[in-house]
Amino acid sequence: MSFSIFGVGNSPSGSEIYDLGDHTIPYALNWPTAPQGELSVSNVSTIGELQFAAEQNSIEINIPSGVTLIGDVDVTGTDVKINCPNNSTVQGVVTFGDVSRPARQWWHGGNIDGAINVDRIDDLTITNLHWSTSDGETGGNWTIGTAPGFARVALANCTFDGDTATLGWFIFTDPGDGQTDLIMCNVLFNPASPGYQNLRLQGITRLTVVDCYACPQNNVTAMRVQQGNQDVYIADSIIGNSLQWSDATNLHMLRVKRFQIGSNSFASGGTGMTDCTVNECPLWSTPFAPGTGDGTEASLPSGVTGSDNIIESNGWDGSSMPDPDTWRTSSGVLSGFAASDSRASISGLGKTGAMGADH
Amino acid sequence: MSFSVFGVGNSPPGAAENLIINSENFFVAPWGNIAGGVGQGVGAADPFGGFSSRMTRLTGPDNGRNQPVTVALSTAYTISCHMRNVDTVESDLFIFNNVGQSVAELEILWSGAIPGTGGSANASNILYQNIGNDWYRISYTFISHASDPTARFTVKPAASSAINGMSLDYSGAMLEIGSSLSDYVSN
Repeated sequence: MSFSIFGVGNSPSGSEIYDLGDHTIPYALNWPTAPQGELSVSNVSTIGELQFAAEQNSIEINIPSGVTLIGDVDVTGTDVKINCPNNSTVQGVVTFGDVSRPARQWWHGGNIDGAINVDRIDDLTITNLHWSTSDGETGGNWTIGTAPGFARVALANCTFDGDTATLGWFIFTDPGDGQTDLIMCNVLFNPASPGYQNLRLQGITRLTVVDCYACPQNNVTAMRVQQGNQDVYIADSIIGNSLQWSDATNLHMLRVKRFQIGSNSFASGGTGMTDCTVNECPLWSTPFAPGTGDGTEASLPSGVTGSDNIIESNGWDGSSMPDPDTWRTSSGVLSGFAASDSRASISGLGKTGAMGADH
Repeated sequence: MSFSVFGVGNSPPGAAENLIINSENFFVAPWGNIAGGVGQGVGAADPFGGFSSRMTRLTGPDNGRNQPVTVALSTAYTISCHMRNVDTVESDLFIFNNVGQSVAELEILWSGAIPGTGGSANASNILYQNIGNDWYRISYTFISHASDPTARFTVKPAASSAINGMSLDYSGAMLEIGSSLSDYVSN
């Protein structure tokens, strides 16, 4: 059987930065457009120079190798490409967009140590970034300004590490800001410290999550997809602990493995769902009420259809999150499982190799 | 001191190429912000039959607008701009490179409608031409950066000793190669 990537009438727009293989996305997939036109080169060497350049239009900014630039940066120009070497870091709050609603920004590589915010912007691409918080910042607010919020944002091949922060989310979007088209592919959300939560995604039209891993190392929320999301596709991903999803229309989960440690029961959800599907999702918990048990098909809430969603209770130690890199090995065997255990199989996942950024 | 063959303002029409795009509207691309930009309004009627761009300082002395131009390295260029004071006391007409370093600068001190020179690093042939109705064409010559080919034509309406809320009207920006000032060319 062959699959179309986009389906009838769903030709992609913008710059496709990640191969979604055989995924059939049940809605138009709108990638952000890359910076256009002739870009003047700005080889910055200080945080002040970076701050100046990031405000300009039609510019390609090169951060030097092996530096740490300390200070906040507002990227507010249109057609801005920022290249950060993998051994360099911007230590401060980085905000993309502002009230002027710039367009076509792209951050590639390197490290940001501090919160990442997204204001009003059209077409933002972030690739191969290692994001962390060393000084306890709260996470990123991706709907800073007034509505409408961002349009077309893509994250690909990135690692988000929490550290000592105790509050906040890696990405938070407000349900009332009308943001559209968020695509996340091969993103490792890997908070190291207790208390740091992952994702609270609300009010997004067309949310696409493929080949991602979101497993907080305690019992807090990994992913909340709730309050007014329209057209959601989450596939080939691992979610640890709380996976809350509710109040969504045309939401589809496929091959999402969900684990739960601790006593957190914040996994249930599924209220207010319309035209949603969940298929082939092994569940090391009982996220769907009521009355499910080991080896049985999960019950799905009203508004959700699907099959092969099996409640699991063995094959996993029950306390440690799966190793994302092992999950991504070509052997297709999940960490902690024997290859003979059918529930350990990850066949069907499109990607192999280490997760996240390459540094 | 250098001299133009035609004298100031007397070049034959079309003799010079104005490298500035949208030379009479500073609020459209490729003009962009400096330090958060400025308050944007419609200024007084300009000398070219339109209305000028009124810029107002919002948050600090570096608020401004700029336009990048690709130039030859270590080469003489002449920058000029038409200005009409509203209520500011100091403004800047600068050239920055592509990382925000000053290549050349003219700090203009205003005494009511009349401009005068404050700082003028790397600026020569500084001229203030009164063209009527409180409009001045202000110009100087500079040598472009030795290694960065991007010259950013930069204006700040209310720099340094000015305060937030002060404004200046702008029109007729021009950047031309050479050390002589030509007649303004509208783009």
